[in-house]
Amino acid sequence: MAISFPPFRNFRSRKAAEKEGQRLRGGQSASALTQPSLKRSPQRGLEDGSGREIGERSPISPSNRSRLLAVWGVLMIGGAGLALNLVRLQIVQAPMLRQRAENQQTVALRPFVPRRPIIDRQGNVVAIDEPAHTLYAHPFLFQQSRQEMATQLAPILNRPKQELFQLFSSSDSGIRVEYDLPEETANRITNLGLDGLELERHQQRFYPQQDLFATVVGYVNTERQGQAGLEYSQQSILERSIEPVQVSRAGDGAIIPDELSGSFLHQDDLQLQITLDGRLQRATRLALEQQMQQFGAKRGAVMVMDVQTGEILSMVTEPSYDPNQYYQFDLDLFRTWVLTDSYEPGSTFKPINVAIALESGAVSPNDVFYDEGRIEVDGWPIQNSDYNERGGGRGSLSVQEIIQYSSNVGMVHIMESLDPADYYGWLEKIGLGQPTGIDLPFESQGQIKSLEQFVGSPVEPATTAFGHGFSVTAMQLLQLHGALANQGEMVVPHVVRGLYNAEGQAYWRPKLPAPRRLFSPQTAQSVLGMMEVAVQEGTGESAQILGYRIAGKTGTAQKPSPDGGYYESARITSFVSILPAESPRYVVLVVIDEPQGEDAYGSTVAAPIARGVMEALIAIEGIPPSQPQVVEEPTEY
Amino acid sequence: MTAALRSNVSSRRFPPRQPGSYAGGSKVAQFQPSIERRSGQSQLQPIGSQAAVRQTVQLPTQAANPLWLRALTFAQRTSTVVTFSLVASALAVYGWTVYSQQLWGKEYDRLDALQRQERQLTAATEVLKDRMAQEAEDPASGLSIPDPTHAIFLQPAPLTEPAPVQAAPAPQPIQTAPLGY
Repeated sequence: MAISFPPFRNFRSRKAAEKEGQRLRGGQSASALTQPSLKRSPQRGLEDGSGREIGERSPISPSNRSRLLAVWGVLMIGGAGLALNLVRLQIVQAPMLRQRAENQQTVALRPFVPRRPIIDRQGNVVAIDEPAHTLYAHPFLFQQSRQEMATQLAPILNRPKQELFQLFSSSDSGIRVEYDLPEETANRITNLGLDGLELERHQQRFYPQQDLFATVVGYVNTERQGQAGLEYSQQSILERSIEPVQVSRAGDGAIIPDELSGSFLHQDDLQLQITLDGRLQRATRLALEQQMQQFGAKRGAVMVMDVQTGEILSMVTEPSYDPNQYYQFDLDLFRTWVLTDSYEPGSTFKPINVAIALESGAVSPNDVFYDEGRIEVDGWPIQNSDYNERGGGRGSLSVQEIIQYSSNVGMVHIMESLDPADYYGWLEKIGLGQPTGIDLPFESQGQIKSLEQFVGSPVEPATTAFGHGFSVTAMQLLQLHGALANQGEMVVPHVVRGLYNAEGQAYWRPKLPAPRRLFSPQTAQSVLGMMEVAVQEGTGESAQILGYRIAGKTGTAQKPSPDGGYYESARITSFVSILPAESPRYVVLVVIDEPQGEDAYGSTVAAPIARGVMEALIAIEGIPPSQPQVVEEPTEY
Repeated sequence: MTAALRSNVSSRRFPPRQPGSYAGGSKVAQFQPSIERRSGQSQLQPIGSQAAVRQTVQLPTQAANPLWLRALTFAQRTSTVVTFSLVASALAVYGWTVYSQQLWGKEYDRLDALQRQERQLTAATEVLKDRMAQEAEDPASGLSIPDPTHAIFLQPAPLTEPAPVQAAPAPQPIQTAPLGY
């Protein structure tokens, strides 16, 4: 085999080989010399002419030896160097290098996880997350002059270039140029390829209907925290947090998806559905705005509730705010005052009092009470609102007539039939002084006097009889009237329907407490009958709708002043209506705060709004008329 | 391999082999390679022509390989085929893993873009709807809020009993008379 390597043969000079051969021949016989070699390897029976086996090792000359040693040394030193380096890389620097490689090869994949959208009853999107970009400028990195940069950016950002130039001149780094750039604008800026600009992506909540749902939905601040309404109270449901996933990255930056879990891509498409109806909400807002403008009212609210389920179909407060630009509005507007502010309900509470009186058995619907027009209780004068106009009382009135004419004195006499302590127990039972439990935040409870105070002076039950001396929130008043409409059972008002997926299948529904019975169905029915007469022939005439039976009650309450007593001119007018009276389904409450003008009463200010809302409700929900008008058949064709 | 090398190299460099140095102990007639140095050509000649006449020349026959050798050969061939196919499939699998990752990356970008478009479309639709609704509120638009007086409520028609199916009339005899001339 060795014969196939010419260099080995060339390694020795021919002269040396010949000399060697002669020396060997002189000493021993050639055959004897070759024998061991043949024995060792039978196939290598090849000899050259001198009888010496080819490929046989020969002693190396000292000069070659030194060269060999040098080569060996170099190789060994090289090998040792490599080994040392291996030790350094694999043992000494290993943790640091591994860390460095990981940093380079892995990337934290942070998918865009939007806050869940909110949709209304029809599935219209009320709040949705959109990606937005913050633009930062670092002028010290600019490759062009600040003037040129300002000129290039001005048309894209839609801002005067002088303003941008001043901005760029203000600092060398970290200037926030724009906070909420839409994606197209951000792409255009990226495509410019300018140095010294930085775009940071974030999410931004977008409310397409602007102020329409602001009262209920609320808004989200720049830290992605809900600050009002559902955005605050349902934060945990709306917010989705996906931890950023560490994934490996290939050399070209592409993601190697082998470590991703299946849930990474399969984000749920759940949306929070609310019970509000966008169409009704619009109609309500229009009716409210018009009437508020006419009377120059300070603020107003309208709420519509389904009495059987407690779903709020519409909830509008005016003035409202645009949650897209919440920072431009007064903080006071973010308060859902129908929940946070309590007020003295006035006459709208009279039907509840009558229901208490009937249910307790102290009064029967056919009882008659004498209305003097003006009485004094414990030294305090109490009179009817129309006492001065009529110049006296209305005389004997049935319970139904007391409601119909909204007689304060009559109400005092009705409630005098009850023991004050019993009366107080009833007030507690119907939930005065307690929150309604609605799923909106910052709800306050109304105020009610203590039992000692209430029982201590006869004027307390007397003022409570016509809705003064205590306070409720508008929502609570709505809930109480809802109980009257729902055959005496009180439900919890709510605005959240649940989480639904894109196909409309329910994924989660809020657990609502069971309805609580306050009054018997008979009591509720007879009070509703009285309220129906109040609309047909009493104070609520302006809420009538042709063909429909509507029960309602007006209320005009004077606002209490902080230093005791009441303001003379500041009032809260309200109207509560229930329809259809024969099988109640909806309750509408209108509250107008401080309407201006002499004729600003519940009947003139609030009742027309209620009628407008109910008309829209009838059309949207398709409520058939109670007394259908027969359309005359055309006789001629 | 050794023999082939030898014939090449020895013809030029080495002195000719002594005849009989190989065949000393051989009893079988052999072809002896005789190398002509001058012409540089090798020629095969029988050792003696007389001997060739007398003796039967026995050509070397290919002895059948033993079973174990054949088995080993077979094993070698099969393993070669298997190795090649394994290497090919390993390359294919590796290629697929790389390609599928690239594909995943592309599809992920696409999904991201589609989700973004979906959000933009949703928002744009809602803005349009809101704009239309706001314009409809303008009295000059000629649109009005739904009003119960404009609504028509229809009484649902009472359920009607399906009419009993009457027996089909007996088939009339076909008119035999001609219909016309």
